Amino acid sequence: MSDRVKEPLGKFAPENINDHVLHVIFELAAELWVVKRRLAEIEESAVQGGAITSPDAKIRDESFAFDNSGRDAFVERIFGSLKDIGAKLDTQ
Amino acid sequence: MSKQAVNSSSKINSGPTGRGYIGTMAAMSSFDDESYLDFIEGLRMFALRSMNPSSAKALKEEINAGKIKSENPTIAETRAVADPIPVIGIRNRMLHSTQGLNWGRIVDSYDVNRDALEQELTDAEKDGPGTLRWNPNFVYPDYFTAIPYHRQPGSYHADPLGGHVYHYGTKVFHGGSNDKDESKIERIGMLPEPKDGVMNKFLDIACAIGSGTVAAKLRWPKAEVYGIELAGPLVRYAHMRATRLKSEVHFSQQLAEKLDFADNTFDLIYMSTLLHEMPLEEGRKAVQEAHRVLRPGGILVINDMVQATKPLNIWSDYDRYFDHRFNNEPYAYKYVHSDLDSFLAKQFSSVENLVQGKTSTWTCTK
Repeated sequence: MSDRVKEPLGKFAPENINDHVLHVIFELAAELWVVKRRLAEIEESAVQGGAITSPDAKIRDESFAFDNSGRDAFVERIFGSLKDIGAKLDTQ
Repeated sequence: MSKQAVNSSSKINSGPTGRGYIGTMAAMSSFDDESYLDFIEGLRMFALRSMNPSSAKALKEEINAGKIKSENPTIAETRAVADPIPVIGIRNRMLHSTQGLNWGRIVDSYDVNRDALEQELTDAEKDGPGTLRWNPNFVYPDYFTAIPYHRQPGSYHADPLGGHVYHYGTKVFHGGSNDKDESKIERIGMLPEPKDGVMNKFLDIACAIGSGTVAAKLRWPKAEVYGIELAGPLVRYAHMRATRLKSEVHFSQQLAEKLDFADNTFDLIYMSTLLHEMPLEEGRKAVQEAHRVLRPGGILVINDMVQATKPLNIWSDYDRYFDHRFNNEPYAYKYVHSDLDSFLAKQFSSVENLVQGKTSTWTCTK
């Protein structure tokens, strides 16, 4: 392990930077979801039609409904541990 | 070729963004924007369903440990204990971020097709079966323009696309539960009728995008149905949307505290989520105006945030104050501490208050 890795966390950033880092994580996760969903759509099109088309060309009709189960499971996988932090941080 | 044209291959109306409709709202301008907002909606639901209970539990543990001694602490006393709790801090950040990311992406996405979206508002103005009255030079009260409600860019009134943005924003805010007006239809379906059974005129005060108003026309197709709204972009959008749904509803731009209807006009009046968005004095005037235009025996139903209790629900009070502080609800905290029940009891012959979670429904008979 290099010396650089051994440096204590929090040395360069003040404690309250966590709040901003969380915001960045949410933004990153949103963009990741965009990529995952787009790839899934392309894959579905490729399987069905034998050719890849842009999901943007897919026009929604008014009966369209989102399938939230995959999305909610994705959110829970990434952020689920946060809800268990409780009233005190374990600093050990 | 106009984006309003019907897509030749799918026979689906591609709408002003070229991507059709999700429920009754124009789809986002790109698949990626739609996915981004789908995620934000999921993250917000996680905050509400998982982070909220954990946060409330963590605060209760601190209260049980004696960190807050009073049954009715001031918000400063509560914040001194709650703000540093890690799970609450993360919840607060999550709610604040999701709200900002939500508005930002919707505005950017609709902006790509701004010309087409504004054109559909203009095109619908003279169309029916309903009607629209609005004034592009309407002078808004200062309390209304002082702050962008809920951090919506341009608030309700300053961006011509305010109705479009608000509609998609509330879709995310409510977790997609009203995409096809289903929750509004259910809520309007629960409204009581006057005891004498006469139900000829219905008024929706602060109707926003008119989903409740259209739902009322569905429930009472023979009644005259009216919706009033202060914000020009919202009332234009409400009319455009109702026109597309072929609903005969009469929308107009008006102040709730100064209606232009005659005394004793309406059989049933619905006032949903308005009072917490007004200063107390104006809110009281709005209730008195509703009373004036309601006929004897008629019913006013107010649906809004639940009033604070004694002893205080400390988590609820903290949560409400967070909304007030960080989600541009400048009047909400005073409103929940305003003893609305006593005020209503003085105005009406009978008042019933049904509390369901964070919401109260007052049924007031004149």
